[in-house]
Amino acid sequence: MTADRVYAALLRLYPAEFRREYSGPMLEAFRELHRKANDRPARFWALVLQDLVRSALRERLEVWSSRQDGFALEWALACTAGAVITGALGSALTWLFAYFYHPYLEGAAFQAGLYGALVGIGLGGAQAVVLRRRVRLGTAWVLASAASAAAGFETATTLAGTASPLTFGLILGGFVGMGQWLILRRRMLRAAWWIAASAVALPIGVLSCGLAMHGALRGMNPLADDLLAAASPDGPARLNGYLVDAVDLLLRGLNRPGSLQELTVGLAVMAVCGMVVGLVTAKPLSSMLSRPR
Amino acid sequence: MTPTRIEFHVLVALVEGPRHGYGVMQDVDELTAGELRLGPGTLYSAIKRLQRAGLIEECEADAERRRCYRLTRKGKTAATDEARRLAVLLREARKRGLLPSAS
Repeated sequence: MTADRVYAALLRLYPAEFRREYSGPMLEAFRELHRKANDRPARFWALVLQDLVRSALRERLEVWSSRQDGFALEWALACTAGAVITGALGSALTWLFAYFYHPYLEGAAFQAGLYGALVGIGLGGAQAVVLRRRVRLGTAWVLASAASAAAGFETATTLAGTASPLTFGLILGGFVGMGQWLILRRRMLRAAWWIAASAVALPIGVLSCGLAMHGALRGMNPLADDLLAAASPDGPARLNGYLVDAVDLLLRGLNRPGSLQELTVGLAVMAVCGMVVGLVTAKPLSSMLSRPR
Repeated sequence: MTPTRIEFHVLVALVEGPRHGYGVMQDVDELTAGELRLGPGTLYSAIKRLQRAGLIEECEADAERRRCYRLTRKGKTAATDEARRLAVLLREARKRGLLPSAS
């Protein structure tokens, strides 16, 4: 009886769908095996546990890959496209502002919050395209993304600015995560994890941008040095320099691009950041989508 | 679908008629002289894949109300094809001296 209970508890290692279908017959087969193997308990349990761990892992992997493959790729592409569209729109707006500039506009500036709202609309809009096939979010997702990104950009720029890039990412990610959580919590269980996922994803995105830009662009095109500030001496200071540059480039949407090269680098930074954020957040979001309210 | 080694053993165990899970495990154990011992997890993982591929199907429970499985026509064809493939391979292995001649 005790062995049955132990095995029944261990069956929880299998995915729920597999358990629903096969836990009954598996327990029956286990009972028969156990009845015939009483003289060699150690060997019996070794066989059963090895079999259980191996097959449970296989079933879990199968479920995970069938859920992840399509969604993770779609989500990462949506985040990349959303970030690039935002960068392009930001640059277009600042170019138009400069083109139609009139002395009457003296002192007017493109505020961080406005740029944040643009990021929220671009990124949230692209994400909504992928999400709407799985859950009904409506325009609330885009609006919440825009409002929270606006507040996040304002707060992160004020409190951290470019001097503290990881804090900048953490604040922005936390704000956006909270805004989107307000929408997710009504439709799925354990939605609060989204705040943590978002707050972690943004600093990783910023980190990736800094490293990718310095590593790739400097190697490919020496002129990129104009855009990327000179690297700090070495060690942690150099890394911080990379991160500062990444945030600086992310915020370039606030400025009119001075050249086609500057525009290209800005869009590439947005693309890298969007893709990393998408890849980091795909798994937690996929788990939440599998637990609808 | 080409069955894996374990799936093929399950198909062969079902050739002589419907069996419940434990019956399949016993049959595979006998067929392989104890070399391949299936646990419940491996067995039902294989049963799931074979059911999905339409090679086996569930049939009426036995007297002890245990769930039974039987081969479908598609399953019998797949098992025959795999057996033929293995027979050809075996013949080739004998020809090349990997195994002693059958005669």
